[in-house]
Amino acid sequence: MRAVLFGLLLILSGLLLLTVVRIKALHLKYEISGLQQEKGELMRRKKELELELALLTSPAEIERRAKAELGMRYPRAHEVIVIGVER
Amino acid sequence: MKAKRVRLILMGVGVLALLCLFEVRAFYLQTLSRDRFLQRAKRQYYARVVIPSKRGRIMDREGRVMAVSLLVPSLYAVPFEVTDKGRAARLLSEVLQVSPSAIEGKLSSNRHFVWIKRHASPQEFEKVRELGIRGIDAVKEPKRFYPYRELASPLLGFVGVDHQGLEGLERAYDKWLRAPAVEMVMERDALGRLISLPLEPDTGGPWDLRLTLDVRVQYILEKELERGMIEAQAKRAVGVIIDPFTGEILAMASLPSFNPNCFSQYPPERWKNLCTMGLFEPGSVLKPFLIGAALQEGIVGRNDVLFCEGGRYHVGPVTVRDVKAYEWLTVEEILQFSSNIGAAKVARAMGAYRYYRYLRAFGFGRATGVGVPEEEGILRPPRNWTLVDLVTLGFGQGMVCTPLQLAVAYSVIANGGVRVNPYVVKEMVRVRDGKRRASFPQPGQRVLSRETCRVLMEMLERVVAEGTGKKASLEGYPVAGKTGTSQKYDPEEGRYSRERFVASFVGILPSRRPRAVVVIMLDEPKRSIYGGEVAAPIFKGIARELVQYWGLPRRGKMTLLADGRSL
Repeated sequence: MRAVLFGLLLILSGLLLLTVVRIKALHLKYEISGLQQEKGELMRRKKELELELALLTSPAEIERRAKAELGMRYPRAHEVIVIGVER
Repeated sequence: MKAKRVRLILMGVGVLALLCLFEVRAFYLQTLSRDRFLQRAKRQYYARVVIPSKRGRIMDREGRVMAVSLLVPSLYAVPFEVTDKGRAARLLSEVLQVSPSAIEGKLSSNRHFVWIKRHASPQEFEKVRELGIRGIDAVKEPKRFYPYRELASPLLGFVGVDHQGLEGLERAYDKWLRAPAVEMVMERDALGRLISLPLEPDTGGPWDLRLTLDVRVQYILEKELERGMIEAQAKRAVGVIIDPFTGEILAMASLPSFNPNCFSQYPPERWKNLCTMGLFEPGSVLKPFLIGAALQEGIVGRNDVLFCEGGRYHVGPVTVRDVKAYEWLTVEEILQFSSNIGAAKVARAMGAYRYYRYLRAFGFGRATGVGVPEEEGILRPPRNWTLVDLVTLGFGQGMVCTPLQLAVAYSVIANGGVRVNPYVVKEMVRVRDGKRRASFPQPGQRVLSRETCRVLMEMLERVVAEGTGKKASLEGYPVAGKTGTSQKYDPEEGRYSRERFVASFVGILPSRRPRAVVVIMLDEPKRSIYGGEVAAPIFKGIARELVQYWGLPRRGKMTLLADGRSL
């Protein structure tokens, strides 16, 4: 009788352990799912930022803003002095 | 006692009957209706997830992003769910700036699914969502963005609404750039939530492309080319900048171009990359190859003198003319002053077969293998040449080539005699795992000796210093180059046009330890037809900016920076 009870207890413990492991696995799956979604979002954001960076640093945009916002212009021939020494 | 037994029997029969009933039901469910219920269970436990098509980025040599795909909302309708179609059409048309009748037409369709607007802006999506119309929804679809807009657009090409490459590099490298949409079956819970997202399927792609192009160099080329095209009132302009030692294409422009973000708003002829697909008669820019070949073969020497017939030279039914009435010119002066008669005489001395062999070795009449759609050009075999053909080919008429072929041929002179294989994709990187496939300069065939190239370079330096290419000279920097002016063939009149020309200039910057070969071609310029007048100044403008960008030291001097470091 004691052996039977012990066997039942063992089976019940095993089942409990199995349930706990399965629940843990499920939680991990949810976590992975969340992290993958987050990764996807971050990758998307990275691409958006790359696009924004390219738009803001395009030579045409820099030239346009330098002229319009900072009043810059290309130097005229007489305004350029090349500093050099004989080799 | 008997009654008790009867009850027991009845109970037993009852239980047996119940068990039989369960058995029958179980048989029905598990055997006869098995497939149907299995399908239903699968629908509950599993969901189909579509991973949209992905496309790799295109970057310049410094990693600046030139093309990238982002997921944007595409609006669709399930027509039978839209109750008040007229009202829905009116509201949507206000947000999307589309005619209400067009939307109502779609909503009245018998189909289960219709697109309302693909690739809508986030603002439009938000406004439509706020309207809360039943039966209108959105899915995320990838859209291609080109942040530099028109820059290098004919080379980059563009993609269609389904993300497939339609032109340029996008088309040529479509199988590398694109990973098609994948549908996957995923487990889900009782609330319909996905349990773990799928890992990226191993479809191979997509790959990112890193080009040999430099966005800054490309900008310099396009800016100066556009300015020159407007000033010369030319129909089109083409420019190529190539590293003469490696064959790397640093910039490639074909104007007027288009904005690939909205390519359909431009006429299709603007989509064409004229650097590889445009065919031009080279004109006098071909003369250095004739002279180089003649020097190499020992047919003429640099200081040999030829009589240039006072400006008119009759060959059969054709009269060859020079711009000025030259009498005696050395071979060097023939190049310097671009004498057609002098070139014609050298070509006669060279002979058709030998000249043809050199032209082929320089890369004319064959594809360069650059990796984007290209024309081979037309160089007829010498058995079909008449004397007139030979003579006119001496000064670059009677054959056609692409600007890229010219750049490759001038690279031979610039690098000391070896033909390079041009390429535009420097490296491909697989997005999934970072695996790399790099391109390396391929050793090409030797065409001219080092010594011949040295002599030829000196002659081309004089073209810029004292000859027809003076407007390309840049103070402080040695520059070599050659001007060209070629008549265009008029197929309607069946002869060369007297009004339509191609003006060109090919320059080597700097001529000592060259960094770049620059090809400039203007199609049908009006202000002046001469390459030395309209194309050479464009080269100068480009060269002036490139020496600053690359920090090239001035001739014979060491440029000092403000902090005392030297370049």
